[in-house]
Amino acid sequence: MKAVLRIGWTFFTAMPLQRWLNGIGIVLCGMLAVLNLKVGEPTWSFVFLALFVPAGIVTLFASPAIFHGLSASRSNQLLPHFHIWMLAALAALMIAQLAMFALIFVAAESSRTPLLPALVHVFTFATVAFLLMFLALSGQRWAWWLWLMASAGFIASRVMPSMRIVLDAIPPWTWFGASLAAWTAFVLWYTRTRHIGQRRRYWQTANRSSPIDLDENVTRERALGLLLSSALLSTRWRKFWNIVVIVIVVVALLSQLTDPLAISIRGFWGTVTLYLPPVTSAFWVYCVTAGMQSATMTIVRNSRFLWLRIPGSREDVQRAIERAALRNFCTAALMLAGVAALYASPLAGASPRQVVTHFMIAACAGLCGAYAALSTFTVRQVDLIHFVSVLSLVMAQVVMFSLAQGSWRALAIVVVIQLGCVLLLRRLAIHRWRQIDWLYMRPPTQYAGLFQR
Amino acid sequence: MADPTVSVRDLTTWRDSKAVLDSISADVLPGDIIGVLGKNGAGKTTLLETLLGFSRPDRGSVAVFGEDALHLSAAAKARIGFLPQQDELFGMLNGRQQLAIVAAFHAHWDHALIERLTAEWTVPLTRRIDSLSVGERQKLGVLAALGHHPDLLVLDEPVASLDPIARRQFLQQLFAIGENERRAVLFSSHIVSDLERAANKVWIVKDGRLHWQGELDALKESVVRLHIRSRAPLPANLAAPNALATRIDGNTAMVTVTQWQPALADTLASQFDARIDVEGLGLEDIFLELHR
Repeated sequence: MKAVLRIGWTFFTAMPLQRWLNGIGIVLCGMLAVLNLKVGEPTWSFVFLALFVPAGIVTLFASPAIFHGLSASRSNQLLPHFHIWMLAALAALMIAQLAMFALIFVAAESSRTPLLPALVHVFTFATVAFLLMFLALSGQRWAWWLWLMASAGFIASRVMPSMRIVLDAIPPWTWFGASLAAWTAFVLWYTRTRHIGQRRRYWQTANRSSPIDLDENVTRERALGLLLSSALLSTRWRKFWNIVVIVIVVVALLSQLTDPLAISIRGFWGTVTLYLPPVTSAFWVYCVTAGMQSATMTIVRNSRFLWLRIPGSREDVQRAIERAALRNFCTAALMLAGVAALYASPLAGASPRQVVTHFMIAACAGLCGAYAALSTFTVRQVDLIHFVSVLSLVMAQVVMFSLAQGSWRALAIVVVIQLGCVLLLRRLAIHRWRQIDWLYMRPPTQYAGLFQR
Repeated sequence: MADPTVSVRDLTTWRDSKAVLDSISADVLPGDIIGVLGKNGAGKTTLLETLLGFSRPDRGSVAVFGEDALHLSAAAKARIGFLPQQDELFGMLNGRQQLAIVAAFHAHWDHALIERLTAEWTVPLTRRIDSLSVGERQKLGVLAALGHHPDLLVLDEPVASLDPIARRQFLQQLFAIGENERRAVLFSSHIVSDLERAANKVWIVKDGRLHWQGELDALKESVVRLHIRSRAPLPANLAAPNALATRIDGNTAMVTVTQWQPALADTLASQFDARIDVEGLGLEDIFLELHR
């Protein structure tokens, strides 16, 4: 029992971000509770939400990484009844999450949906989220794609009435049965497996099965490029992705030739491209910001390799990294231009203002993401500070995006604010880069620092 | 005297209000093979990496080949070979590809040397790095640091994971480097016997300070153990000058002293009416005595 409690506690407190959010959640919850009692007409759902949103949701998404981190350790696997205690703690976590959701649900008096089906849906979502993330962390890269598709399907089901009707027609007990079956399979596998795949390092993201297109005659430029971008990926995935994009574009254009086909494709198109303004553009703002910050952060964390390779001072290394980040930005901008062109096509039929708004804000968001990565690193707590800063940036940009839908003037103001933010972040980056300490700023190793901050 | 390869002056680094490196001043001269010795957490890695500009010191300066370590030119960087304590190899590459990446940054890369060492050390270059053992990865890291014949070779725990045969082969390679008077090697190790065999100078790091720096032979001559046998019981507060450790047992005592001078034996002999035997110490014993 002690072990279950200990592991359960770890699920909620392993990452520094969780500890912060837990603290914020408890304070918010307490303040709202006091306020509620004073007002006289308490709305307790907000009180529980204040705790659930910061603490519960983050824990739900962090738990696969924590569970995987503890399970992958060979020495942990030798502990008596380790697998059983881990599963018991996981079950306790799921029950706690469901209980918290039920409290919110019951407290929200206006809700007309019965509690049990709602709980089943939450349980299904938690099951899919946990299992897919766990598999992805264990080296099953397809699980990320499945997770992405499941998320896209979920969003689509929320905004597309036809899809929602189809999903709602499925009885809740089917979802519950499927989730239980998935958990049973997982428990059987988990209690028997002797090896759980290790999470790969950030900077070694190549697919295990991909061949590396690198021969012995590497030029200095190519070697530098590899170290800068850690683009050791084979071209196989890139080629595959290009083909997918081309196929989508061709199908989209061909579908314009015949009306019946266009109508049937349009529904499919809306789902696969998530062309559901303003959700789509907000989605792109998020993707480009997070994608650019992630790519740039990878280079920043690899910068230790570059110190003895690039002549000059820290500023010279920073300039090389900035150039690499801007090259990445050019690629992202090209992709965005492609998406904007598709929006402008008769298939989507977006107005010129919508297209320009989408492109400009997402492109500037990419720049913001890149410079946030260049500027927010510190010697320690890098992930926490970085995560919070980029999250704030994304949220601010999504809000600004909705404002920019108004007029050309509003768009211009938002873009100017974004570019101002870029300039500020760049200045901060240059200032901080002089202090970079590669004794600590290393490419992270397996779960480095996850449990030890 | 030749210009120092590395010149350190008053190097001080603070971490969490504790001096990790404390007022270190030293020179690395061409031809030096310096073994850096210290307990875990003494500051060896911090020292070695700060010398190469990875970390910015809070006070003091480091010059490598006459250039500020924080602003090294391409020419200076090309003359440095470095093996970090934790290898930083790309797991998805094979050994040959990893070496090709490193070689691409150097105008001259001694393929013949690498081929020879690969064969001698039995490094499987065609296998993916993430399938290699820790020792094999370490050998690969050493190869990557040696291929361009660096004038300054900095190795942080290079033999920690090597088997005795590989360690011996590695030391032979260090001897070969040491024969070239232009080059300097700085390496840390906990395997004192290896360090004693390969190094001609020693830096002993203790609590962030360079507790000893100099010729290994000079250190051995400086620190000795005195066996004192007296006819009468020795006083409990027996105090010898520069004593590191004193153990008294009735009529006998063992005193380890530093800055040893033969005259001290005569002084103690007459003071306590005792016979004094002088025992020379190995590096490991000296290290232990210095850390008592």
